[in-house]
Amino acid sequence: MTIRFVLLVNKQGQTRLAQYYEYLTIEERRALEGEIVRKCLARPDNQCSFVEHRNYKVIYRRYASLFFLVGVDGEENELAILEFIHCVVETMDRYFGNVCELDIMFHLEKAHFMLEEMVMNGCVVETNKQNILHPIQLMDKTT
Amino acid sequence: MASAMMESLFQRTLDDLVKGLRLQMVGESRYLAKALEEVRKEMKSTDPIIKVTALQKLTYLQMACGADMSWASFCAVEVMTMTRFSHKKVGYLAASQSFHEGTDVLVLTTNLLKKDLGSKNEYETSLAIECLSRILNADLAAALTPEVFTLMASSRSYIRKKATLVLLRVFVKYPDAIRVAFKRLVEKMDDADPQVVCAAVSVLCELTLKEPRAYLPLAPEFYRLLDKSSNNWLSIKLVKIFGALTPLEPRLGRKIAGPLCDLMRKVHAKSLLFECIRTVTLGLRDHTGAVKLCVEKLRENMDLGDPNLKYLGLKALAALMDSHPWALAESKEVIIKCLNDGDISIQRRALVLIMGMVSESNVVETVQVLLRYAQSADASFCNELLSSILQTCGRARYEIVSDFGWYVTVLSDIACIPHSEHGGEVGRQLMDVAIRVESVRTDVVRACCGLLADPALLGRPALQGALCAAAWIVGEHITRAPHGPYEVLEALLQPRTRLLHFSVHAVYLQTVLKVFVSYAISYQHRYFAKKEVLEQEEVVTQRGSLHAAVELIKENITPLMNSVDMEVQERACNVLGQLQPFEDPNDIHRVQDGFEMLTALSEVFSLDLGPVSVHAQGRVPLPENLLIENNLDALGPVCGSDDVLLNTGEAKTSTSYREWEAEFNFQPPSKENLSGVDPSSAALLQQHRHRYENFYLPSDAPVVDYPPAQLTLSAATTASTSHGPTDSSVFNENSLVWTKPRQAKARRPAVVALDDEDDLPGISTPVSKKGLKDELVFEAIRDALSADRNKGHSAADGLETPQGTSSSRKSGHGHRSTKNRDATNPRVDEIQIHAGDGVGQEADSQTPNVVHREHRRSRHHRPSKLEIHVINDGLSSENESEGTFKLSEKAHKKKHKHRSSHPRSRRPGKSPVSNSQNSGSIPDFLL
Repeated sequence: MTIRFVLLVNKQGQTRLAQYYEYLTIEERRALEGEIVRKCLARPDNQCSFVEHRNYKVIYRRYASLFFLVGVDGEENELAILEFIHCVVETMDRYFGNVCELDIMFHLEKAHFMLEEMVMNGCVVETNKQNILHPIQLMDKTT
Repeated sequence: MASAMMESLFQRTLDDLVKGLRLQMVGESRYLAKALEEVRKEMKSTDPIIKVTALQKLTYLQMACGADMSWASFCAVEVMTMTRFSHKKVGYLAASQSFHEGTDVLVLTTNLLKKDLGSKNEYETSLAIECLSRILNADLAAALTPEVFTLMASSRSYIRKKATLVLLRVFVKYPDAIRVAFKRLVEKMDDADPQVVCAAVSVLCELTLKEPRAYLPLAPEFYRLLDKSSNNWLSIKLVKIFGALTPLEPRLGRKIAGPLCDLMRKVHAKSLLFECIRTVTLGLRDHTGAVKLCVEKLRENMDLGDPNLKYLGLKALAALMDSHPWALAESKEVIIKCLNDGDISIQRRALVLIMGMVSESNVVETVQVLLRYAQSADASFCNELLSSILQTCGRARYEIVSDFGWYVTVLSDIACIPHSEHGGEVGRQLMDVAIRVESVRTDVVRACCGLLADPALLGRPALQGALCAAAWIVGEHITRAPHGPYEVLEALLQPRTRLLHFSVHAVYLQTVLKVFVSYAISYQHRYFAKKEVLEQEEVVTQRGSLHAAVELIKENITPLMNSVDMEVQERACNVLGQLQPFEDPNDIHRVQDGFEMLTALSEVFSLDLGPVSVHAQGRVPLPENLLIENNLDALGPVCGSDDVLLNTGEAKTSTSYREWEAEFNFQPPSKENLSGVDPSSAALLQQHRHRYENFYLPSDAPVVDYPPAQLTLSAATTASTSHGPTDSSVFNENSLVWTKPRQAKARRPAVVALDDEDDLPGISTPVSKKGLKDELVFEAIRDALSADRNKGHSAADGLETPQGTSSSRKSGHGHRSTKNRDATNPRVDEIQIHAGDGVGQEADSQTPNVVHREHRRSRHHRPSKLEIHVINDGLSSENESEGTFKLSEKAHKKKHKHRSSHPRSRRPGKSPVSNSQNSGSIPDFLL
């Protein structure tokens, strides 16, 4: 289990997408999200993208009004996770065309689907945008 | 019917819900409650579409607003069983978001998942696999492992990849599966599809990080993959695996050092570069060339100014801190600059490094720099700085501190820094230094007087620990106070002392008594020495005179007689009682009486309290006729007393100690022992000790052996112990023993050391418990393996049969290494066969590494694009799917066989482990 969770949060700190790869109760999730979001969003842009919180390392990146936060365990490669975040954003960009908060709010299940294609069991499985989007595009065609 | 149509017509869709949520700036909770109520109603509907939409909405609400959806788990299962893919998907999403191992409806999903895993539609299969990776528990795993195993051999790489990854969770939840599937997992490293290879390596990487030793025999496979890998994701995983393996096998380090260095020189992707550096810092510390290259690369990257690289650079340097201090020394300026970075992550890392570099020679400068930073830093980082100063300097009995006068000023500075919250620790160390280092006591008392006099400090609750200690120290050594006792009295009685916590205030009051006693006695000496008359009123009533002191104390302490705290009230009464004889300076007789009493008290107070070992009590030999367990009533008189021994530098201490011991050993006190001791002073001493219980080192759980305590032997003690030869005979060598102080360095004052004080705070003893635990796990594995060896042979054979070509090729390779040994040792052969069957890890030992490396370099990727190349292959494996059926049967049989053994111990069943215990298991690769 390397990636523990992926969070998408807007500038106001509201969670827009949350994907956990280990089970936490709702209360634990809310508490964790609250703490992490408060910590990360308070940091200016010129600071590094890594924050240590409890036993997690949180790697985050800001794209316009959206923050992508990924919690990993201690041994994970931080820069690779940054690449991963970038890959997520590029994939969403390709699908939604310049992705914004609303796209994710209104197509949450698709965003989930993309993430599921990319990460499984906390490991990155797929980073090729074409491959990630292929099943979703197929689904769009059939419906 | 019509109503159902109406319902579906007027049901709010997810989009409506989201829109509604966005409009709710205030009163979101009301909207949420309403939406949940709606969902609850809709769930009861018979119309599947309404149900699906309701579940979709609920899933959204759970994630966005934290609504509870555990009540809807049955509905989720219902939706999962629907035939339409788009509906099914909603159900699966809900399940993977809300189910956990303990969810009760999981038992209902077994057949459903089995069906979906076997579905013709690969996306349905993938949905089921993904869901499995979240919700799998032991029961599901036991039921579904055969399906997963079959899917690993699927002709579609999309499925193979996912099935391989889900194996990680299967192994964790259901270790029996390792026996069945591990071999196939290892085979997946040779898969034609690079994504499947990547997935297999990811799983192995996770497993390896958990228990590296078991996977050592796979090293040649990993090496081969690394050699030809052109994918940075894959390379990172492989390099990470080597980071875990190399510390265990030095020969592997030698082998991998060259290629890693090449990789570091060539690679453009920072992520891979830092992974290489991490591996070097973990496992290749002895390879100077590699370490030098690392340091060079780190400095290059840290100079780029990117905060991320700076952070990672500091982290990597921290890993080199212990083994290669020169690496840190070279980058010292950069590190110190990072303290001022403004980024807490970087500051923290830099702090760790700086504390790691501190030594006796640079501690003064370093602490000065840190204190300067602490004054300007924000509260939380300031406290981190201060606590690391305290921790580092206090480590191992202040081993790096040679100038204690300086250190005492540092301690009082730390207390005075505005954000400081370390009063407790400062107090502890002040007291510790005052007690242990005699030569510096005057400095400590001066610093403490400074702390007591500052009215600002009284208002800060976090500092009360320091003030409490300061008050006690000043009271004990009042004769050393720089400006005399009157100033101290004024400090102790200033009005803001009412802000103190009761327990601290009580200590203040006792100190007032001690200071007053000392003051009065010195006053008496002064005037009697001069043969002057006491009742000279003009002298007595002057400021600074005895009368003024009495008035000052009376004025400030009288209100405390009504304190709500019992301790404060009692002590206040005590103090005032002692003052009574001096109230009227004209009543010479009473004053004389008072002086007599104070003289007795001063004798008690002037005893030096030495440090006491935590386990001192345990060293007292148990009298033979003492029946602790049988006669609990006898404990009555002692229960109120503390169980800490008192030690003073005076000769009569040991006598009074004996008296104390005699009294509490439940024997009739023998008058002979008490002869020569003033009983009243002994009682006072006892009372005093009782009062100041909290200033004695705490007595802890008893220890098995009791090495002798060490205490400084001052001149006074040497003289006094000599006239009590009988005393020493009371204690055997296991009891309290006075010994010489530690041989001090020329410029460092003696620090009194007590033995067995490792468990005191501030003295760190790094014990790697984790290592110990791993050791145990590994032992367990080895035991399990040796047990397996007998029956495992047949099991391995069984595994082998259905596997056609690939496994026979592997086992062929596996045998090769043992052939030489066959003649001499037939048992070794047996072990090796087992290993070969399991994995065939030596398969590619002959790979021409150099050629591959060249190949890899030429195909190297751009740094930021970590893409996986997809090779669409039409690989099908009929053989394997045919064999799977038999295997799954085997799995079931074996499950019963192994149920009784420990789950963790089963992992090695996959058998690369089986010969990992002798490191000669990878000879082809290493030699």
